[in-house]
Amino acid sequence: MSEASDWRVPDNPTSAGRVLHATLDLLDRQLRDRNGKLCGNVDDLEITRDEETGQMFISAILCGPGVLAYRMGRRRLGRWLEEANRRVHDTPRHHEPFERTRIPIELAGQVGPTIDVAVDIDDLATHDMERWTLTHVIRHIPGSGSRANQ
Amino acid sequence: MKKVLGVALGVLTAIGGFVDMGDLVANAETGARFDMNLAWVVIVGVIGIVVYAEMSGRVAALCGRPVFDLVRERLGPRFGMANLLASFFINMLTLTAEIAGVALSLSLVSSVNYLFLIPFVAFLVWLVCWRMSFVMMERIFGLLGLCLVVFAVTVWKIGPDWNQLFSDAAHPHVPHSETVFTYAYFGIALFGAAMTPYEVFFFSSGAVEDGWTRKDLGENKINVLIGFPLGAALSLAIMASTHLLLAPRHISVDQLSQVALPVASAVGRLGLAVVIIGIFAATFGAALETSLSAGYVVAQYLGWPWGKHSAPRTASRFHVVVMMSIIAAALFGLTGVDPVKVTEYSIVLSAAALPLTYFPILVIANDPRYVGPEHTNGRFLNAVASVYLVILVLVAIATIPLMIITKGGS
Repeated sequence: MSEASDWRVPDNPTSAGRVLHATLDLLDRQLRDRNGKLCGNVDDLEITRDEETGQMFISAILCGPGVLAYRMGRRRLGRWLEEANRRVHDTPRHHEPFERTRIPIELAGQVGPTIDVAVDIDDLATHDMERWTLTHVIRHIPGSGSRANQ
Repeated sequence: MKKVLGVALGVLTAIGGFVDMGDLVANAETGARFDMNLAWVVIVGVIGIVVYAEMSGRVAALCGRPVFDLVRERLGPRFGMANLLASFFINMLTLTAEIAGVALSLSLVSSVNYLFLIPFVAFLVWLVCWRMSFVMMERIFGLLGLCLVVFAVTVWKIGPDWNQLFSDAAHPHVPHSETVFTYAYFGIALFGAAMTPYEVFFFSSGAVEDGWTRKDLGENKINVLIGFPLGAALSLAIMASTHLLLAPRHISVDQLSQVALPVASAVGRLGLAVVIIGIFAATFGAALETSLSAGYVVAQYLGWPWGKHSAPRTASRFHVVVMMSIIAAALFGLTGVDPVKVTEYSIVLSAAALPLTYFPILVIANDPRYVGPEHTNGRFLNAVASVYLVILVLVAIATIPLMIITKGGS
């Protein structure tokens, strides 16, 4: 994976296998936001066909509540998770640059054991539950705000 | 000098941290029932954990990815989920056993029924997970766990015929009073106790928590290669002590207090005090490791922020899972389930779940994109690790039928 930024399937079929392999290498990887915070896994990939050339390419990384369930064919569980997440996400943001479970592939950096994405963790749906547990549970317990005693 | 001290401390911690409720129960039970005829399993088990713990520590140090992260990446979400559910369930059994073990060791001193102590112990476990730093936590309980060396003193004090003891261990056979099935069942129990999956979850996650890098590879090797085998030697000392003192009197071990019996009779009151501290530290340390592991596996499968290296606020879901697991384990313990039985089931089932956890470690430790071309496994290591994978699969297949045939080893 030296050319991490080249997401398009090339015309040459002999090298197509390598890129498909790269697709396998993308799924289920750990994502990190622009500040290095862990922000979910690559739960699924969005594949788009280029209208002009007919080429298939990966257009987005999908991650967040329900996405993995959909990929595994558990539609009802997926919907339930989405709905549950909608309820805990009480402060909708309107000026997000993308849908909250969809990270455009242009925002993904080098692919390695982790994938860095140029987004803020707070803009992702994966983080809603984290915020909810923080405000409803963790913040109320003494000592939650400081590092452990060394 | 400071560096040497650090390494020595790490090794001592690894020794003291090796033994937990599973090892205490399994080794004491088999010593009393099978004499030294199952000692070889402890050695097979420790080589396995050394091989796989070293790999998981190396991977964690080189690419910062702990084991359960790799599990989902390499097995895919379905098998990953199956492994998550199985590992989480087994981990809960282990956590219950460890919490009960701490409560039992405290009840030996306070003569308060251990059930009353469970909520208190659970709270303490949570408090340490919540507030104490990782290094401090590892050191305190690892070093106190060294009190279990008193088992070695016990064996030495009994003054057995050493040649006979080693010869017994080297020529294993199924004792007349047992069947092949119970022999195999307890063999699996010992194997599972040595290779419990939470050990690699915790070890690799701990390496990330401690911020290990390429520079720490040497320390990883030394800790694992010296610390774990010496820990296993302690396990064998426990086995030998019950073999020498309990087996001739036909006393079987079905309570934790009986594990301490040989020490009390051979070394006396001081020995008893020391062994109780040792059991307390070993089970408390393992209770911490398993409660954190509950959080690690879930968070790593789902990609959440995790760990206790920064404030709990930065990993709130992780801390909620840890807390809920401790509460659930305490409630299960409070139902009055037999802690020794829970321990037995947890280690036997551990053995069955191992292949799904160890296979991804082996794959990644051979992947230069994760560990770099110069740190992939050598041929010898791969050969040994592959043999173990085959053993693990065979054990996994045999476990449940054996459990049914022997009615849980009785």
